Amino acid sequence: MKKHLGLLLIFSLWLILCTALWAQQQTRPQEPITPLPQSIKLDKAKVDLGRMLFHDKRFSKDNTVSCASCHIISKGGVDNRAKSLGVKNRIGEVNAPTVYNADYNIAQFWDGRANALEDQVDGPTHKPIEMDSSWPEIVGKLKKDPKYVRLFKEIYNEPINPTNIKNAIATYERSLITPNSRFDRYLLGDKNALTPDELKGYQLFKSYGCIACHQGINIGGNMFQTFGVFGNYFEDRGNVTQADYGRYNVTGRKQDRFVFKVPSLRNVAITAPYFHDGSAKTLTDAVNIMAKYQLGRTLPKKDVELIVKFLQTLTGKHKELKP
Amino acid sequence: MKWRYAIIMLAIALIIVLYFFANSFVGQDRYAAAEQILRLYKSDALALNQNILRTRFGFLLHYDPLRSGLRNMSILQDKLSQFVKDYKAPGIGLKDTLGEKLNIKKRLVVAFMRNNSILRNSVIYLPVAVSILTTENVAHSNLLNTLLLNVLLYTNSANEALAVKINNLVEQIPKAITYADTDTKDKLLLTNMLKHTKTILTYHPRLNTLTRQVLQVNLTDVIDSLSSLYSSERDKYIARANIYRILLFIFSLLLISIIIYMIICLRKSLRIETETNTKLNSEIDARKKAEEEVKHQNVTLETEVKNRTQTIIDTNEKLVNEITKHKKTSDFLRKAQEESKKNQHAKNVFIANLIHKITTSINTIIKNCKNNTIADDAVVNINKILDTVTDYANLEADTLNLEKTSFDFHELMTSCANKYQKLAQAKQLTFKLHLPEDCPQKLIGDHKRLNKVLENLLDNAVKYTEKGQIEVTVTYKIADPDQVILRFEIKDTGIGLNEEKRVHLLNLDDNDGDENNEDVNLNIIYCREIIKLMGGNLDIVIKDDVPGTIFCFSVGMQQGSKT
Repeated sequence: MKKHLGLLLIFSLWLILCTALWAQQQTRPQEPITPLPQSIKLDKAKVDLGRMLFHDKRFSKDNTVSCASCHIISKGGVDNRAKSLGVKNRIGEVNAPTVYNADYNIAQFWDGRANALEDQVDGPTHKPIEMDSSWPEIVGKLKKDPKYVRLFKEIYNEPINPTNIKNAIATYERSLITPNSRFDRYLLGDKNALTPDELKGYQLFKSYGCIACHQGINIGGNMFQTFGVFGNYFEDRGNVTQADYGRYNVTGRKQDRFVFKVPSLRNVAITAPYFHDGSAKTLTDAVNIMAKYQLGRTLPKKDVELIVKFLQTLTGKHKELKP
Repeated sequence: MKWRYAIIMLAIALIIVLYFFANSFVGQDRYAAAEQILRLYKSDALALNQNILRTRFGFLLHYDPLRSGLRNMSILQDKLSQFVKDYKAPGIGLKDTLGEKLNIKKRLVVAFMRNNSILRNSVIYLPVAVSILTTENVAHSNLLNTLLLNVLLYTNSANEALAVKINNLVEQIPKAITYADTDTKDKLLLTNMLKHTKTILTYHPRLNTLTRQVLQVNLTDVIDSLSSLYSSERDKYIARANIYRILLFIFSLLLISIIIYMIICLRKSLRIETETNTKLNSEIDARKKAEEEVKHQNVTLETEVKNRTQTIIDTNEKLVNEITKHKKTSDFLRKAQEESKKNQHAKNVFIANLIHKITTSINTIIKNCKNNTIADDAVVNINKILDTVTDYANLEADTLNLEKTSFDFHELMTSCANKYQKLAQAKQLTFKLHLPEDCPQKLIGDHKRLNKVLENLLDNAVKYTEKGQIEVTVTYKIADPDQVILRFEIKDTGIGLNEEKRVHLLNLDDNDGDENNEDVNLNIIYCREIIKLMGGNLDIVIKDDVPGTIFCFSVGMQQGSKT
């Protein structure tokens, strides 16, 4: 009987605690942006193996390009080029998106042709202008390295195969999250984390409607949007390429023409240049283009500056990230 | 044998039980897992529908719930496909339908998000733009506010009449409201406002349609039919497993009973073993006791034997001592005897020598006293006596040697008979000699001593016979061509002898002293010894009915040549 009473007591205490927490959650102002978790539980061995593979140039045909060649981990997961250089300095079709927080995206690539991070690995490795390789080639190269053979045997208990490789790399990419940005600290209750200007920028970000697409945990990335809702961006820019058709290349449906994945704005300050074509060199440019073509309005210069200030608070922290 | 069967049965029962045990769980878990997947799938699908509506009406500020909902459902769909593939489960068609529907829903949701964002942006911006325009130019406020009101009303309804009205207003406004060319800012603002109004007019119905479409794509009914299919499959497996459980129960009982039986057997055998062991132990104890007793007895026996041997040894020692004593005494005696013998011998030799000297001296006397008859007889007697004494002495000293001369046996006997004829006649006795005619005449041997023996015996016969006759009978036997055995019987009719006297006479010894019959005894001993030397034996025959004695003896003689 006593034992039951004790259990009842513990249960009721737990209930009270939950209620209290729920109440606190309710009292906190609801924001369309949520902070990143401090860490995620992952197999450390797989993460380490994935890191090795991510930096391995044997993934490319002539052993010159690794994943990290374009997604430089220390520099925000991008190479800061408008279009990346593949094997034999072949120029890529689109701007390299960051690998940081990539798992929170609705899909991978600008056109969202890969659903999961695992599937994404197939893309660059096989694309002739990127790595120009194939799985048999990559597996063959990796199998010659006794270190990899041993590690794969230890971790996956099976020989090296594309599934294992993709899983290891994806696991590593899942570990690439950048919590503790100043804005996240603000969201978590640190009211002094942002300056008044930055806070004002956030308010403008919301009121101008940027938040309509750039919302959620990754401040974007969870949806697709047509580039050029108001006005034809591509006509204005000119020189339309196949890549500019975006999601149309994947689905083949007319309504998906010029539709791209909304990119995440986390670490946006260090991932210039912007857009799938890398046409915006600075954040100000990017904000202006977005306002014009997506929001259908022109923003005062002052407001743009404030929004840019806000965007600069979104740079998070990761032990490999050295901006 | 019994054990072996029991163990085999146990093993079989165990295998069967394990088989049933394994089978009593087959299929339930996997369908439970599938049902779990479907349960999550369904809740995600319902949540997605809710979230679509919440997003549509602005209760959700971001699309993360939609995004994660879609992702989760994709993952669950993959799991479901994997499950169907792994277990070859039924409902592939339903699963594919579900997958197709999910893809449609996904596409619609993505489109919904895109359109919703655009609409939302415009709906947010329109009031801002109108307020800016009306504050700067109050003149147009009426028209613009009417537009705003209608648009806001429109966004919260599906009234197509309002759309027509708004369209009219959108067409009116550019004509009604004009700005100076320099006022580009306001001009642009107005244009943008109208653009957004148009956007709202375009996207609002589109979004409504999309929302309807998203909600119309009903995943839950497919999920439900899959669920019912899998739960019925699971029920089938449970029914199957229940049968196995019943069998498992029965065989478990069997197994337990076998084990109990084995334990009972084991215990029984153990008990029997212990019983036999105790029996054996008691037997062993008894045997040990017996052995100990035997040992004890042995020990006592040994001690007894020891004691006895000790006594025997003691007695032996005593005996040995006595024997040695006896030996010593006998040695002493023998020595003494030998000494006495030596002395006797020396005495005899001395006597023999003495007699020889006497004889020589008497012979010299005889030569000198010739022709004296009285003396002659006496000399003859003395001679005889001396001869006898010499012989006797020689006998005693073992130095007597028989002569071997040839002689006439008939002549000897005749002369002897003649002599005793005269003596017998003097005592008025008759004397008879029976000598066979064919008896060998010429013999070789010691005739002197034979004569002496005969004379001695005849002397005795004559001496002890007062009346009657004396008879001498000679018989012979030729054993060898050379050897003749002569037998003499001297029969008298004297006083005779009793048995005691006879034995006494035959076993006379030198030392037996008998004063009365000294010379008789000596004579008899002399005869006996001489006869012995001659290879014969003296005997005395006594006949109860006939008076007198018969002295008989036989001697071996060598036959002389007949020529």
